[in-house]
Amino acid sequence: MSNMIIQNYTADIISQRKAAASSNDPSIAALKVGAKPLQPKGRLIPSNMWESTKYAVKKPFQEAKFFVDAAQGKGNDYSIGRINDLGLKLGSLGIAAILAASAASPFKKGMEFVGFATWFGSMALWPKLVGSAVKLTKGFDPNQKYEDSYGRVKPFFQDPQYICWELYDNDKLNEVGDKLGIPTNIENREGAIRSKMQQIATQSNTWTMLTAGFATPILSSLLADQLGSRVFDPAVEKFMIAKARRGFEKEPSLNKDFLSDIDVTLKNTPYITEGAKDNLIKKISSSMLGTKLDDEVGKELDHLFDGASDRIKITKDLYGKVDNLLGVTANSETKKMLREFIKGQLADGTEAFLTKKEFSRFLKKVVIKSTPVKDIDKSVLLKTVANGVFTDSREIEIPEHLYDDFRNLYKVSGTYYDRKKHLLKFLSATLNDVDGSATANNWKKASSPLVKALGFSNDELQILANQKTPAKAADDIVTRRLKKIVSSPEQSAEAIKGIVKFYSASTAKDMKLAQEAMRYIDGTEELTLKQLRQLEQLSGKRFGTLESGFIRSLNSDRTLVANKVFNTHLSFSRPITAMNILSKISDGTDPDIMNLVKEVYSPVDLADKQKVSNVSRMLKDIVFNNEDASSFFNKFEQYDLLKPKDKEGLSRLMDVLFAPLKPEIRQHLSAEVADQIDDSNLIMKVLYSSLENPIKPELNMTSFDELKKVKNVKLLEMAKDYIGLEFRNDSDDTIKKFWQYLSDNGKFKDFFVLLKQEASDVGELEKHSDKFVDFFKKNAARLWWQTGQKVEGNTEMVKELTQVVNSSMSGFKRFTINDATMSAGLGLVDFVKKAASDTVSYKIWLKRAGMAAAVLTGVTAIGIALMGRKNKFNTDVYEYKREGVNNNAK
Amino acid sequence: MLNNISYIPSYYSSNMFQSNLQTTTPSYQTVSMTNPQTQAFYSIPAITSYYQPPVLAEQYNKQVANNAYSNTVQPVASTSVTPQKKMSPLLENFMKTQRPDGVSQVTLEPEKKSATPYKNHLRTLFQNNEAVIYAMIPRTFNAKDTNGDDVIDGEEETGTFINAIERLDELVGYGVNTIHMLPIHEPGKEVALGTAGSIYAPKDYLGIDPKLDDPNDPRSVKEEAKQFIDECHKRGIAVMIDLPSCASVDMYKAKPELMATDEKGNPKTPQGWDDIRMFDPWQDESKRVLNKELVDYHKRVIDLYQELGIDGIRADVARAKPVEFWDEIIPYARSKDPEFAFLAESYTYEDASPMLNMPKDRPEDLLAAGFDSYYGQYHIFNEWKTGKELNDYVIENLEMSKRLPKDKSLIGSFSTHDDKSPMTNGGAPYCNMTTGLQMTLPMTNPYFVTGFESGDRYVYKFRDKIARESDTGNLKYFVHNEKLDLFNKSRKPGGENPEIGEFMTAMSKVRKQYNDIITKGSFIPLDEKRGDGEKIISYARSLNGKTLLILANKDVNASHKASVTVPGLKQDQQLNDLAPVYTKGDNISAAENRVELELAPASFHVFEINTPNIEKEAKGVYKQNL
Repeated sequence: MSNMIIQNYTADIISQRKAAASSNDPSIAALKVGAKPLQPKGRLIPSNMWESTKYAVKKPFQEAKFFVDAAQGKGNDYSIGRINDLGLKLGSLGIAAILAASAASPFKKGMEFVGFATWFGSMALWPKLVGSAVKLTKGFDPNQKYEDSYGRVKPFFQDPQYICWELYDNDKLNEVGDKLGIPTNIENREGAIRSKMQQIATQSNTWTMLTAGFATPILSSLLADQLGSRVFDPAVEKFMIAKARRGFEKEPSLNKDFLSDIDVTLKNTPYITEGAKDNLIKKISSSMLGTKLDDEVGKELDHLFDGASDRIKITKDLYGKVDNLLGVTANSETKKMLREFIKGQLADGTEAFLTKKEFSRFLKKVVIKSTPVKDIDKSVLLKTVANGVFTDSREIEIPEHLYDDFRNLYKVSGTYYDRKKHLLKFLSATLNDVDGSATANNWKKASSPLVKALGFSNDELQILANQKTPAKAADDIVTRRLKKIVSSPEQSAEAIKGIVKFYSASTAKDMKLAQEAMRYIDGTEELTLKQLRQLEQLSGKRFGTLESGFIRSLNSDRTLVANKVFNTHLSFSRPITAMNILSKISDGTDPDIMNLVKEVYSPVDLADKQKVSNVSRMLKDIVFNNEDASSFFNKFEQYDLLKPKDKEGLSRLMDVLFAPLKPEIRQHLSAEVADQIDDSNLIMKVLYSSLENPIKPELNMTSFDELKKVKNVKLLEMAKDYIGLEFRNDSDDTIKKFWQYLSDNGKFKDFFVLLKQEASDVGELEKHSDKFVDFFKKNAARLWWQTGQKVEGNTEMVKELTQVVNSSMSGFKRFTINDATMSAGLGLVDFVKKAASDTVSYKIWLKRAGMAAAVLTGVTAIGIALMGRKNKFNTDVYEYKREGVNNNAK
Repeated sequence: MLNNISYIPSYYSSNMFQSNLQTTTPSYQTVSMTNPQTQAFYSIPAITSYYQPPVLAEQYNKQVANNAYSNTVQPVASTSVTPQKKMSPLLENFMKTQRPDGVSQVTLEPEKKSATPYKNHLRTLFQNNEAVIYAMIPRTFNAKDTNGDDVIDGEEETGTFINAIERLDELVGYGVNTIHMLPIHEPGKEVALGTAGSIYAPKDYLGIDPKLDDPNDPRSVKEEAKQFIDECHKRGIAVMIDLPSCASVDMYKAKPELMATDEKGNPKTPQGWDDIRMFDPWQDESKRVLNKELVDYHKRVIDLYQELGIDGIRADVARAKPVEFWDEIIPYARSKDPEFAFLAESYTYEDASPMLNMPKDRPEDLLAAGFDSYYGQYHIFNEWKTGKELNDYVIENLEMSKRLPKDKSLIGSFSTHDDKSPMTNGGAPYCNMTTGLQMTLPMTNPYFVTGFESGDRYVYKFRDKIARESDTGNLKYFVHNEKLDLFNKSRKPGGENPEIGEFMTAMSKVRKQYNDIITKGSFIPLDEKRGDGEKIISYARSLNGKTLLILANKDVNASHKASVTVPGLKQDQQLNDLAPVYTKGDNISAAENRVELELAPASFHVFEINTPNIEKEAKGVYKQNL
């Protein structure tokens, strides 16, 4: 409480206080030095980017020094406080790192750090936001920092008892006073201004601390969302792709341990035991796990030993093994013979060698001479003796080149493995459905534009997003919406425009990445096959098994890549395709549909209109729910349809489903996009047509001709790579006659040559047919059985033929129904449901976060407005000048 | 009766003189009378006190008249101050009645001036780093605590100006040539601390505490003060008085025009010091216009001090007033006495003041404004971890001296009245070590607080107890733990370690002997050490080819072994310790360019070494701006 007496008295006295006049006495004046306070050593830190950057760079070094000082016991409150901040951040970073280590994907790993960054970012941001608002309204920054004489950066208002006011310019101070409404005609205005500033700074800091608990999670959440979608997702994608690319730029890295194993086991080694050989092969082949070529590698490595001579090594150890020979299968007589044999071989030495032939002869002699034990057959005895005594005695010669061949074969496999590894990484970063991949990001970005383009209301979105909504209900909503769109050209235009936005960017991106992936696949194939060829030249041996394995594996990767591309194209264009179908259906007189109805589905007791309606419903269901078109032939009853007549039915259905876009739809698209959608549908038509289905239509040249119509060259090439197109018709009569002819005319060898030629020269597209593969295999098998021993060298002939066939046919797998489904992408209703779910979740989150942020902002605004205001807790008491008093604030 | 009056013998006894002090003939004013009949001549001291009540003069003269020759009657030596007043009419009349035949002849003897009048040279002492300062509180300096309860009460004699004179020779023995006399003004009573009030809470700067008056001395306390100061001067001791920074509550009420208030009109108090109030130096702070009343008031205080014969001022909390204020006061003081010295109680640069209402500390500003010396940071020496920190601090000051006018210095503030007894930091060895350091450091005027010389731990039995009597109305004996008492009438500072004083004496001699090197020589920090040398203090002082090597162990608890690089040191160098050895177990030997040492806890050594080129060979050589 102010002392009124003193205050009044003081006011009187102060008003009478006079200025001290400088001494006029020259002797005194001469002694004066004109003393003024020297320039302070500290400085206020202006809030600009340069200072912030400088501080941000300096801070970690300072904190490291403080840490070292503290460890040596030299800390003070300031430095320990700073370490506390450092400790907090390091600890949190550590926790994020631990969580990231167990995260499944690079994306999820990264999100742990995003959480860390946004949390601390929010902690730093909130005071700045409040401070900026205070600065705007009160004229000064409550978060003002200054640098003291020791170079330490501190908050200016942190300690109300330790404020370096002299750093604050007086003019600036008075400006603040004007903004705060401090009267100008008072004693010690600066003191009053400082006091008010301190008060406001304290209130501002208090407010910040009180609200930080709410503000930090809200801001962090908002920041993480924005950071995630705008910064983090693209950054992770870019990083992972760049990392995968770098793998291809480097030389393939081989496992040096395996190379040294080969050196240890084979180099300068004349003979190798079978056990050691098996171990080495096993070890190296198992290193190929993941490529699914471990068997092939193992077989090829084993083949390298073909033809190598082997020997049997006789040592004294064998005595023990003889003794252990089971009495059941060998009696003492046999054992005696064996012992004598060993002794004879060893003579005075420690080891002796027999060739395999000599050994076999010996064994047979022993067995022949042996009295059979009970009912044991002599062949069993032979086996028992051989296995029981001499199993580990076999040594295989390491022929010349085998060491090099072994090493080189491993290098080829290792190269393949390395490249495959990087390829998989590349696919994970790009086309696979993995968090953070390019495709995953595309799908993320598609949800909101899709629902916006199709114009669903909030209620509809809520229903679609609800997992418990029955499929039919969701289907009805989507159908209703699309029908409405299709009925209005303006709405169609709007919707298509919205869809094209995400479709174009995503598909272009996917296609580019897919091409890159294909290039890597081709490059891998080229590199490994080249190396394999070189090896074959050096070794003079053929490694067909491995070659087939390489190609087959890479072809499956090509399939995967193409699947992914189609998936994106078709999924994202499906709304437009659906609109196309709906417009055809709703037309009521569409010729394609009419033909389909007339030629294929013609139940006698249904009116045409009803037939049209049923067929329309089926078509819509196929498109909306992405079911396999052929499977609908099993469901025709639910549409009140009779079984279609023949394979023409499916073909007609495909024509309708994958028909080119109608002009009404096409007009809203650019030519390029429209063509691309048409091409996608065309390829889908061809794909479906190649399926095995209950009706078993066979591919014919028609389909291939259809494919030729695909204008999009890239798509076409991709399709070509794995669609089987041509069959050879193969009726039983023809086969019988043909083989009879061969037999009668001794033409098996000629046929063999012909087959071999065919197998080598077969066209690209033909190779991709399973029927073709079957044909050759069948023929090769027949050659064997038909000719038996009649054709000299037929075993080798067939073997060779089979090998050629395999190597020609290898790789491209049959396109199956699964592939069709995968390629076809997500059904429209499922797509819309997913988008709705994403959108609704996001909206709910945004609403909550937004509301929280709005409340916080509102309350903070009120708080800031009240800061420093005069109230019953905060009375402004100023000493006013006596004369010319104007006690009102400015 | 007066016929038998004979000449009153002079008072001075020989034991008050040291051989190196000049003997002065006392002068005093007397009233002499001659009996015209007997021609007997007699003189009696003239009553010259300005402040003595006339009744006392009458009584005194009566006493003199009756006991003129008594040895117990001591004539009071007067100062050269001209009496302010003539004899009172009462006395005059009395004198007249004594004249034989009713006739008297009264002649005033002319004032006898000393042969060599004292000339203030305190400022020069500071500028030459030659002041050796002893801080004392007149109230307790020579108080007689007869019953040993540490408090002076009842009939016990407090410290006065007069009984303080007894101990001046002792101070001379320690080498002291400057006294820092803590405030002598009467403390305020309102909201006072302790039973006597803080000496830093004066009631009026223009008055002297009447409690410092010797009850047996008829003179006024001011005269007694002058006497004391004169006695100091006779012994070659300059006197520097403590100018308090604030006022008591009494003064705050009496002189509101001088005082600072906050915006609510409440008095400003330095945080934590509730018994005092702050002055307001400003008429308009924004325009930096000083408060005339305050300036004028302090000028009158200067006048008083100079009248008393004071040689300088130790400005308590010098930062309490702005530099512009000092730029008024200092020239004013020096216009009358150019040697009037100013010592600032100022420690280190503060970005802002950690103490509410107290301005920030800026020693450099104060030195630039005219102060000759300042306190510095030696009082936290015990907190420094390494010997290097001491050297770094010295270098910091030497560098600062270059930014200032020449001849600025600091004092060896290892222990002041605001610090705990240095005995708590390591006992007598620690005290000796700090004595050795401040006697050999550059730019440093050694400083000792009363009680240091005997190892007083400032432990008072009466602490926080309730008093039987009090001058302030506060019956609690307030005193800071283990610090010199400023608040009560307490015992003379004591202790049980007179060897500390002996060491001071010895080191004073060393300092005198090597005065030039120590006061003007360069400072060469020897921080290159091997072994366990972190706590070793090592530096050299050098001038004109003569070098002193100083070694000390900062650690009061453990010995340390190290090898210190001393450029130019030869293996055959004889190391004869100039300082008395007070520790055991030290082992110091010279080697080529280094000294091998093992120092006992808190040991101190100084050697003269033959390294004429050390300034060229050393890595760092620092000099004061002289």
